[in-house]
Amino acid sequence: MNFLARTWVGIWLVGLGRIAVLAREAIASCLTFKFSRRDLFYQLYFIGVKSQSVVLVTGAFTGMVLAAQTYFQFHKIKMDSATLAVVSVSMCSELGPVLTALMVAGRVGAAIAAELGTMRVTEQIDALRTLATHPVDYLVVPRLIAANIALPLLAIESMSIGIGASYFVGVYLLGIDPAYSWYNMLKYSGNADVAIGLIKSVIYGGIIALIGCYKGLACSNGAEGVGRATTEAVVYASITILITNFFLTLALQKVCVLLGL
Amino acid sequence: MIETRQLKKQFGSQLILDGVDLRIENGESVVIIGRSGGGKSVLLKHLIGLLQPDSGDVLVDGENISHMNERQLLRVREKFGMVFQGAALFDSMTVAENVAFPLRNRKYTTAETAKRVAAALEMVDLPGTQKKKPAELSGGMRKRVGLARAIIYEPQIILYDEPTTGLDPIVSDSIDKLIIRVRDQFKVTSVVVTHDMRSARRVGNHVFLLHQKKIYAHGTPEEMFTSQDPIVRQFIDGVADLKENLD
Repeated sequence: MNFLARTWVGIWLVGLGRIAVLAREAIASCLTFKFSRRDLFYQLYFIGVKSQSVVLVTGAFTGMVLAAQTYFQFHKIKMDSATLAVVSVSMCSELGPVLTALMVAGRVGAAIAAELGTMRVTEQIDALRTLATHPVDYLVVPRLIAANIALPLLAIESMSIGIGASYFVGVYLLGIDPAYSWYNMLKYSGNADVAIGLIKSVIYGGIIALIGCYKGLACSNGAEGVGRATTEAVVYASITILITNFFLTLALQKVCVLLGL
Repeated sequence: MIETRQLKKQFGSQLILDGVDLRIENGESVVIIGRSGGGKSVLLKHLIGLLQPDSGDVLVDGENISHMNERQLLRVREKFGMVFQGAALFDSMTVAENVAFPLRNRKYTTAETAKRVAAALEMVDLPGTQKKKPAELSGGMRKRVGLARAIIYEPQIILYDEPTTGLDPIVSDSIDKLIIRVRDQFKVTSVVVTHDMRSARRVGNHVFLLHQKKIYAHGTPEEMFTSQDPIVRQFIDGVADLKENLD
């Protein structure tokens, strides 16, 4: 049993268990409204407003390159006007939420882990505890709620700018017929695609905030530990988002079929 | 009253505390001395529940806190204030925000909070520093702000973790005087962890020596400083080799 605990599988399972405990604590705290609204608004500003530029650039260029590549392939079989439909479905249900989450994981997940990790190694977390403040109420909950709210909004921005940019590339640069493009886009992409994207974004927001907070709170070994926590927060959040995305896609598509959407 | 019974703590394979028994009465000013790395800070952190013992008990006013979870401990910690070795100020906040932090869940108006912050900063001889950031303060000033943050809600017990370490003798003297002033003005129970003998003699009315993972000796400062026990003398005189003292 001890041997298992020392292997990477054991360490990984212990980490997973601790994140689950942190998530339970955070959700219980959310339900009792022990967090400060001021802290929540600041985190919304930091995670949502300050991430817009990077999300918009990513969304725009992803939409543009996706439109170009799809057009090059579809042009061979004379299906040019289906280009924007492919871009639209991809941006809404996959690329918009996933790329937004990956960019936010890089920017915000790293910042959360670094900030909490530094607080941990300089005894600021212990100071919080001595001042009768639960670190989960004060540090984790505002970040978790803010990420859950900000991610879907950022994903909507990413989807919109991605589709808009792909329309520009398709119609004005590649010469696709605008009327048929719109018709096909509206025909093949629907509310279900947007709903799938938004549900995914809420879940990714939780993943980024929880992994960032966990890595920061569990940080040790001074500056080296903070560096490691920051790197691990980004890597683990990104990998978790990509793996979760596959299973969410299968599950949510199944749900949509069952609901007849 | 704070009491520890057969407190044991181990980090990995390293045993830090091996059956520590300690009793601190209300209103007492206790100093815990011992060698660096001897477990003094670990013992102090057990008293406020920042660390949980592997075995043994910690009782605060008769309540056993050693098996409480973090939420249950929040209520107990309202009795405590703690000054950390590195001050542990929140570096994203100003001095005023740091000092006002413990009042955030209490129903004070902004004006009342500002008044209490000003009074606390006055108490630690740092009036007018409200808008400064911790990074703009010297080590001694940071410790004073840490003390202001610890006393603003008038706790019953204040714990000091190495309050004079890393400070010059003049600043150390001012911190000692501050500890005595806080003790006398608020009638608090003080627990000071230090290896500064001058400080131990001045601020304590009961001194405990932590040696080889246990409380080796305790008594009033006079008893401890006149003790002929070789281990106590070695520590009081600051002699590296025990034989030098015996000679």
